[in-house]
Amino acid sequence: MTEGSNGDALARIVATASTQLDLLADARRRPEIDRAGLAQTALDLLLESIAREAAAAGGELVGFAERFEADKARGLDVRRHLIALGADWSCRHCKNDVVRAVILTLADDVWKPQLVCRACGRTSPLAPRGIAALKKRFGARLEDPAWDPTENGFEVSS
Amino acid sequence: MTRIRGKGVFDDVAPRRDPLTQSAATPEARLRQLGVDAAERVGPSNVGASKILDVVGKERFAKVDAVRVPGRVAWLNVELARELGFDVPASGRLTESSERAILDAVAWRIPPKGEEVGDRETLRVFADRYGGTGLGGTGGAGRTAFLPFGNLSIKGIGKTPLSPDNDRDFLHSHGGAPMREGFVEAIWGEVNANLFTEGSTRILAVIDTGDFTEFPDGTKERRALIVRAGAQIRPAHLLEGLSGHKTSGPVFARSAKESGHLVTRQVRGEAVMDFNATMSSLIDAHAKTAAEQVRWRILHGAMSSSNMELGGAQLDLATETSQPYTAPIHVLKWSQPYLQEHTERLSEIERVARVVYDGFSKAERSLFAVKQVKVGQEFGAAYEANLAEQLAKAAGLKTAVAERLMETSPETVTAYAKVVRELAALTNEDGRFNADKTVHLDKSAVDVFNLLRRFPALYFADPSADHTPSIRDLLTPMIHANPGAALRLGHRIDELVAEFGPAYAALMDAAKSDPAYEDAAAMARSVTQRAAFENMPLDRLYKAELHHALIEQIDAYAWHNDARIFREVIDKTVSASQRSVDALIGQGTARRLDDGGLELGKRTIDGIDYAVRAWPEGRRRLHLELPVRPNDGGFELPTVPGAPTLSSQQLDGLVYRFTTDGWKTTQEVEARREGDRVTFDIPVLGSDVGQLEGVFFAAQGRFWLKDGASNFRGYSFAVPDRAELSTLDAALSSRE
Repeated sequence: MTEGSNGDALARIVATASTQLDLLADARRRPEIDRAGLAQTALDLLLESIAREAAAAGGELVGFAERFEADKARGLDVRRHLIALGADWSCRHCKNDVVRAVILTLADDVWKPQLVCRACGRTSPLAPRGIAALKKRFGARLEDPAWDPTENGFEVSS
Repeated sequence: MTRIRGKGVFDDVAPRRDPLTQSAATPEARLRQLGVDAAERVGPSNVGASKILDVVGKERFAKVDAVRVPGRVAWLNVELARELGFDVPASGRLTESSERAILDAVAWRIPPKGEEVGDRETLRVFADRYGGTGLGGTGGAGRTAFLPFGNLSIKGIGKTPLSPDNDRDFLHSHGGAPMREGFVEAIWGEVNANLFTEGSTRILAVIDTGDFTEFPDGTKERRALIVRAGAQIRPAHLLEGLSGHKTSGPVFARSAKESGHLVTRQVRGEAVMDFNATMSSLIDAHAKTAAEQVRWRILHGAMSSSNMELGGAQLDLATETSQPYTAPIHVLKWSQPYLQEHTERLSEIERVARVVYDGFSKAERSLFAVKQVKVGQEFGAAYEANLAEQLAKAAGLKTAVAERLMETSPETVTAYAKVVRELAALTNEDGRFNADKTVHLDKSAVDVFNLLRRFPALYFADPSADHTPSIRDLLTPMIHANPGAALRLGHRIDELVAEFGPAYAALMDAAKSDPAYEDAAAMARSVTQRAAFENMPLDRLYKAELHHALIEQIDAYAWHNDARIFREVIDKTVSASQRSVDALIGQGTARRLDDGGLELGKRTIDGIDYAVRAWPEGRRRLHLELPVRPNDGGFELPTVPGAPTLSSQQLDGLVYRFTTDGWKTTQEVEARREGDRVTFDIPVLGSDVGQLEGVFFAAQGRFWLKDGASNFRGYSFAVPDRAELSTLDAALSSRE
């Protein structure tokens, strides 16, 4: 990596950080805003930006990028991905298609997912695209009975 | 008598504004609502002629030549500018040429006496004459004049011929308007357009010409040209000079026609005005506006026949304020407080009705079926009915349902409204409280709108439960009175708490069989969502704080020389202050989709297209679009500020992280590429309402973008349920 590209990367990170500061300053002027929630998004995006630059830089910085990716995967909140998991799905009971939550049930050491309908509150199974999206994000954990899904925003049914 | 007759004079009455279906109005109808004659394409952008000159009559205008002045656009109402035909980039950021076009149209000033015009370009402008109270010796518009196009008036254009030639009355004779007032009117104009059925005058632009008003004490205040749009027909136009009242009949007829309130009857095959029915329609419109003010906790602050539109729309907004509770606040010394301001409106309308009535000849009285109008009686009854209806809406009921209940179960609605009104009127001390410089937090004894906002969720969870403790909690009693009074207040609150539960339950029982609700669950969702959204306080619009904040921004503008400051504060204040679900459903434009759905509420905000998409079978989506175009092996987002370029991989991996609950929770939605656009679809339910804001970022990194020109601007939305969609469908069909 050259000195110039270092400078470019830093400039991009600073630009990202600067805009995050704008967001937080803005939130202070808006009484209706959940500042903790917005701060979390700001931090996520800043770390994402740094990790991308680290991955592009190569060398020992890649270690940071890998650590970031691992941490991101570990802490993934399913509630942020309800739209992808609800692809092609509609509630078996009321036909609405807005997902409120994902509920997991442990059966034979495998977590079985169902979607909770935001309109009627009842559950029904995911469509194939939703299952694929779930597996892409949570993969092997769905087959780990020791996993605590509530840490990733799932609801658990006994 | 022939002066108000003639073929077609009473035909083609302007269509009334309906907030719910406004998006289905044709461009021509929208222009007519703005007082623009689209048939006569005049003006810099061929916007069309100013109708007010013909409606009020050219004889009621003082003509004067204005000269072109240099300036810059401090703030532009981008969507209104587009509606009027100005070419504004999708990003909302003015280019040099688009700013030039705006300035060419509206940057005019009447030169002060003694100033040579020289070889400067001039434009004939028109200052309207009117009468009434609070005019400070002017004969009407002392510092405002209409342009011949766009029905645009320029406030702060300089001293008009109607301004008093009297240096002792400095306020009414300097001809300027404070920049602060321009922004106040800009904000309130847009908020009023959302909140009030009859709408409001709106501000197209605030132009900085670099001028200041220098007060006799040596202080200075930055001025601006405030470009106002809308019909702007005032009751005071009928009072012009009072001695000239005999000409008010024709002006009344034409004005009522343009406001959509003219009622006709057939006489020998010809449509002629039915005066009393027309007056009743106007009285009802004003009563509705007055009731809506109570429902939104808004005070106009300076009621007079020249500070309102004849059709009930809001006009002259510089003193307007909201408040956190329901205290009897006032702004000007002489004005009536909240909950009493309607009495001022009534006395102004009474005066106008009397003048118009007196102006008819005997023959005209016969032709127009003119009888003495009992304005006080009619207004009083209309106000009571409208207020009951508005408070039923504040309970979360749809407009159509509240209207029907006033027909079918008026006692139930008024009994509930009576309890709400009594709660609203409870104060810790007698008197009226000046809200010009103070936000009053300790005058009201309860927060009745907090109860209305949060109670539906509890009620529908178990309608038959005893909710008395919750009702008391939600009222958050705030008793600061002396011990004796506090005890009495506490007892009264307890009595009203006990009355509220049954009154509310009776209201909901009466509404549950209304065809506007598909079933009990749909009703519960609709009521709960509407009440929770509409009853949030308008906490950015307290006059004492808003004016102070704007002064700070004007100082910052002077320091940084950056007009984006104003866009940030004005656009966001407006966005955060929209409360009417009906008006949000009817915002923007509407069209049919090829697959049988409807696209509603379409708006372009800072280069991003937002809309609500709805299908008859129940599917609902918030839909976002960003235009893309190939560029140097990548893809440019041409409408987004800075026109960034993304790689194909970045574009395909574009994600929108958004919130609709003020960042308490967030979700993500992935982009879909559709031809020359990337789109995002967010599943929602009918009756959902909120404010969408978020950030776009590429999953492959190195790109992210906020959904606003500066920080989040957001898109306020309301999603129609089945019945509302059907109403919009019918409105679109009638246009087709």
